[in-house]
Amino acid sequence: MNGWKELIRIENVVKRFGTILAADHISLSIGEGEFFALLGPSGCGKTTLLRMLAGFETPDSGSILLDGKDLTAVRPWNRPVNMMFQSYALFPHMSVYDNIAYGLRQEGLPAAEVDRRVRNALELIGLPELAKRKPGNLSGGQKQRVALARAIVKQPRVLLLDEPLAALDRKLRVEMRLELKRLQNEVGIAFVFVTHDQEEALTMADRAAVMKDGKVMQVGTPEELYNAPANLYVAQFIGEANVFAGQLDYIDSEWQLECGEQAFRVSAAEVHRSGLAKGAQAALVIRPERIEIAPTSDSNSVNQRNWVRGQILEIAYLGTAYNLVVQTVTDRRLFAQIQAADFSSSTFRVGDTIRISWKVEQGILVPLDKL
Amino acid sequence: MKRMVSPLVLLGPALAWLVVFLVFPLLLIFAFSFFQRGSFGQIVYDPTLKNYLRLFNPTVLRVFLHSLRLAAFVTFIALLLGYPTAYFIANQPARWKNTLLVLVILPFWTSYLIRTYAWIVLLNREGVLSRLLISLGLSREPISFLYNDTAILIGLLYGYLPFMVLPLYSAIERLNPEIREASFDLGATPFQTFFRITLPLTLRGVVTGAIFVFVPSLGNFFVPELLGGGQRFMIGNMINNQFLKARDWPYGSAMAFGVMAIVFILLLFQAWITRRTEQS
Amino acid sequence: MRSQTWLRFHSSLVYIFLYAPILMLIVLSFNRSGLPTAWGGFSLYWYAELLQNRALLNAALNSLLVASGSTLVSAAFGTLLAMGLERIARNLVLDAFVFLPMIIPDIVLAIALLSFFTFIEMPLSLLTITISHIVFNIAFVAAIVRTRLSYFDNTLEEASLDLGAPPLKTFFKITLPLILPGVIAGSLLAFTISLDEFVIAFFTAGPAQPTLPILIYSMVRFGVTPDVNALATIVLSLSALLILIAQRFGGTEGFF
Repeated sequence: MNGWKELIRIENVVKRFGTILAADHISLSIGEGEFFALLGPSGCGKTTLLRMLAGFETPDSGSILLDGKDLTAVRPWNRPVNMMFQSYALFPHMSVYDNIAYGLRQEGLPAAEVDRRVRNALELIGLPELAKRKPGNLSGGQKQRVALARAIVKQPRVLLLDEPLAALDRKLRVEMRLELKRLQNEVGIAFVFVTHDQEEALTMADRAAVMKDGKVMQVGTPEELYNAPANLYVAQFIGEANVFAGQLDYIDSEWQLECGEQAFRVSAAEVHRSGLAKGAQAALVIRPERIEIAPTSDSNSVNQRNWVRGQILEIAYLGTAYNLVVQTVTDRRLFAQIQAADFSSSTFRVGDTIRISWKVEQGILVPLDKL
Repeated sequence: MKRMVSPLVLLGPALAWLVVFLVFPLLLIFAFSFFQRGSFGQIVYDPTLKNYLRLFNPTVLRVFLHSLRLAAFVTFIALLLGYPTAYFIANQPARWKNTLLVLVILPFWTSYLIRTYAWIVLLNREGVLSRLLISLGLSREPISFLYNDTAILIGLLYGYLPFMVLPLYSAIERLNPEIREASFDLGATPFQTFFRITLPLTLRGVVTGAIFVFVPSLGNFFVPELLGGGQRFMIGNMINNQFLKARDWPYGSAMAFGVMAIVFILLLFQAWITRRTEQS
Repeated sequence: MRSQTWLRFHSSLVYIFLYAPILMLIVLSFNRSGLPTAWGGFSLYWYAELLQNRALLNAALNSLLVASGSTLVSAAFGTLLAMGLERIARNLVLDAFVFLPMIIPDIVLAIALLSFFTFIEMPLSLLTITISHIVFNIAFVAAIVRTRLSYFDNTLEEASLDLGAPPLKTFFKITLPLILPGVIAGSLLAFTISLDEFVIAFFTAGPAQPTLPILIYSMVRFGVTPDVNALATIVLSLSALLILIAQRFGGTEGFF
């Protein structure tokens, strides 16, 4: 990340609601102009963290710094931070124009300045003709844009977005991902958004924090999270995963994971990355799309590959690819995704016994954490 | 917003008002009820239980029982009239529902005194009903329908019927119609379905409506005064008399707390029914 | 369906029961003869009579003063109370306490207030009636505003705070405009109740300043006079009008 400069620093933040620990010693840094995702299942504390950034919740301990200054005591209406609410929270009794102007008028800007900036914002979201409409007469997508404009027009240091796409239907949601990304590029403001949808986080965010039970499990770029997860939780939360659990061993100058009746080779690079040592309990994660299949009669070399034998239980056609469920001889179910071009439906049928394999270096090694 | 506006600002003014002008006055007459009337109608601060014991003298007891009976009867008739009406309204198409409901509530919001007066015009000796009977040849001389328990009953019913319909309506309206259909489907007749499904499920509405009719009926004093002509006494009239005529405030206060005790028992009963129906 | 027909018939009778006496009064008020039984032609004579009656006009003015005063105070206190109950103190005991004045028989409340004013040696006047009416009107306003608040999206307030408007400003620019229909409906109801309230006014009124219901009571006790019909028609119509307006503001639901 070139020219990355810290904008927000969250230090050791703790927040409790009764007996629930919504933030458990969270520390994070978010950079200027960064598109940052807080990703996790519902109840993981991501929304609480967002609300603490906005000032609606106060940390029990720890601090939140913006540009090096402590925000903790600053009230929401004085923070250079604005939020786009999940419900959009557009004021139903005001026109689109007045909604967008609302925040500027609070700053006591001259009317001409307010007007100029509101018009620019309407231009930016591509809805200049809707200025006089009331929110009740807007479509979901339009509401979302107006909510965005209302927050952006204040030119905050950080824009917070609470599940920004959750209220839209699926097709619009996919479109708006790109749109949000474009807007963020254009305005250059740091975006921090909360989502439970890993696909959304991966496609939009520069970096994401994966959260669970009030803790940050890992922070990283989408590629890092997908290809180099720090633990089994992240590996399974981001994307699909086939998991083999076992004990790490070093035999004949080769790393192996012993899982009961089978052993799989593990690349030295992965062992190094995971920081695990010989004898550690570990899990080997194989992404479905890394798996290759071949008929058992295939005589090609399986050198440099791990392989198992199994029987096809299900074949599902997805257009660009096929999804397979395979039951191995050790009674384990594996998921494989095969590109349509590499798959011949006359060669592979449900019930066939096949050979499944993957390159040793594509196995991801993570510590076996208790789930 | 939680931390941003002090609860004191929001709740303070109203609660302060209620404490000063509701709680304190009630405590005051509660205190009065344990003192005595002086010879000039003033209060002599000499503690006694006499006022409560006097509630059990036969004349007073008779008025209490008579009032209870009358209020209970009003409540019963209101239920008979109100339940089918509420049921009817609840099963109308949405656009009619609201209008029909407003038509039930509307009289309640208008002056009860004037609506009672309307019945005087109808029922008195020179009134509409009396003349009607004469002109139909059913009676030869004017008859007054006023100054009896029936007149009081009609007056109370007329005033408080909307109180019965509203809670019944909201209870019936909340009922999932499929529950009734399921009952029919399982072979129950409409009659069985009503008594075994609909009525038990709307029992809370019945109890609420009954209390809303019974309590004010019990305490009303101007309906017995105007339609009963002061001949037929109810508790309200007795309290009224103690305060404004006999000027025995301690005794009147004790009577008031007699009424409050009855109301309290009824509210406990309602809470019990509510809890029971919520559990099931 | 047979039962539908039966229900329709029954309900029609109930509506007739509710409205026939009122309609009769209205018709009679236009009867020149003044007799309930002999039609003397349509006339506004009895209405004109009313305008000559100084005591009556005075009482009407008194009623308007009491209703206005009690409505203003209870609208403010009741709205604040509704907000407090809805979002800070969700507390059953408090709820029960606030709605106590709606449950207590009015005669009990009346004698308690009379005793109280006598005890603190406050002379009975329009002021004491107004104070007393506020006690139960707060509950009515609070009940209506609360219904409105329960549909209110709290994130709207957060959005306003977030956009830089401090709490008080947020209240006046966002919260109040959005619950205003409820406040208006509640105020109209409170006004109507206060205007028509008899029992408590009867006990807390000074001897020289009767409200309209008190005057009507004394007129009615001494028999039926035709000008009461006209007065009754005016009062009933005014109340009905106010309530129908309140209804338009989305008001009267939320009681039971």
